[in-house]
Amino acid sequence: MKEEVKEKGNVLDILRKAKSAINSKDIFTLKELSNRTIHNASIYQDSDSISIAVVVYALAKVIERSKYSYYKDWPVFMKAVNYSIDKAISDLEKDDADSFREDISSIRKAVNKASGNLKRYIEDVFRKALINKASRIYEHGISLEQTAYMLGITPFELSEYAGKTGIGDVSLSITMPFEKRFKRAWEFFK
Amino acid sequence: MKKALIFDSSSIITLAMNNLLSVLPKLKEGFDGSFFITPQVKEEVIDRPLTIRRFELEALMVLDMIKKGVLEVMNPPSLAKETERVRILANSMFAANREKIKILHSGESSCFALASLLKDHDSLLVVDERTSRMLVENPENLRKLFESKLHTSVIMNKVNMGYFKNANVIRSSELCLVSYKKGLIELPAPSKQAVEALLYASKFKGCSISNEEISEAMKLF
Repeated sequence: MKEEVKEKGNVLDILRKAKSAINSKDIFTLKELSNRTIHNASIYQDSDSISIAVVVYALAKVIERSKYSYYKDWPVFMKAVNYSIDKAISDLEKDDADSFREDISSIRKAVNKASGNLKRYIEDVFRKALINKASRIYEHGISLEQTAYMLGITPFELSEYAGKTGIGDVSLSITMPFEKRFKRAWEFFK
Repeated sequence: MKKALIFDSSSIITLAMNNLLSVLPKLKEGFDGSFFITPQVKEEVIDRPLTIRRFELEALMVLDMIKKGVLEVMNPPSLAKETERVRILANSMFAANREKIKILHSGESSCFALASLLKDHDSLLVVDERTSRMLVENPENLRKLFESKLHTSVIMNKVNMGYFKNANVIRSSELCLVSYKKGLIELPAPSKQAVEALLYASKFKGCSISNEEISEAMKLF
């Protein structure tokens, strides 16, 4: 039997609010909920927090693109998403961690209800959401490799994305004057 | 004392993605020492990306450096054991909500481990990612960073700090500037522009260097 879901109360609260935000197309709230989960993900590094952060953020990005709702498979896709969220809430309330994890996984698999371009777009959104959340965890202070390992991506992907986020500009990150470090390198090659 | 430059994954990745690995063989000429990577780093910069089309070329370019003897995969007998020791030390340095925060993975840990095992070498770590560098140079800043991002109190185990504080770190950005200053990188631009281009290229491919540091660097050239 796998371990329990950490911070169960918090996770339930996030899922309930996410469901409400999806129904009202409240993208801002969805993104905030995802950010909230990232704090837990950085500390506990459990797959549940990570999955929820990624899925909620991906749904925010999918809903944000209003043109997707014109695709014929859109209602089928959203129905599958809503069903999985309802089931995830219900299973977590019953402390059925294994079923809960399958339900969260099913949200991602709901993309299979779509076809053609919509399916490709949504898959792309989910992939980018993974890298976006990885970048957020890296910003929180976890190392590049550890973060890549947690999210199941390569350090190459994360490095490429993180380079554009200004992570090095955080004042706490500046630990030595450039001249001193350059001098160290220069002296080493004399 | 022989010299050793130990590269972690992040620095190799920055160089590879900027097509600047070619600088390494030139730097190595006349250098009394070795350029090392660990097997754990090799896994991240060659073995895994070789299976991913998007990064296959970069992986092959790094592999080429090994085949040419520019980069050596160094795997002393006790590296695995020492890597695990480092990983445990690093990953018990900070705690929040009574939970130890895992901050380093095996690749990063292996670089510290190798530096520690090469007692007869004068070693320099080449690390572009931020966490390892902060762990060495200002762990208190890393604790503050965690606190500000996690919005909760973070405790630091100062006992473990000792292992890391003697490491010396540079980045691929400094390596590129050394190469430039030695005439090993030629660019059709005045020095200031060339320096700016090299440093922003490293920054945008993941090297943790700030705009402020880049401005500082440009004043040196």
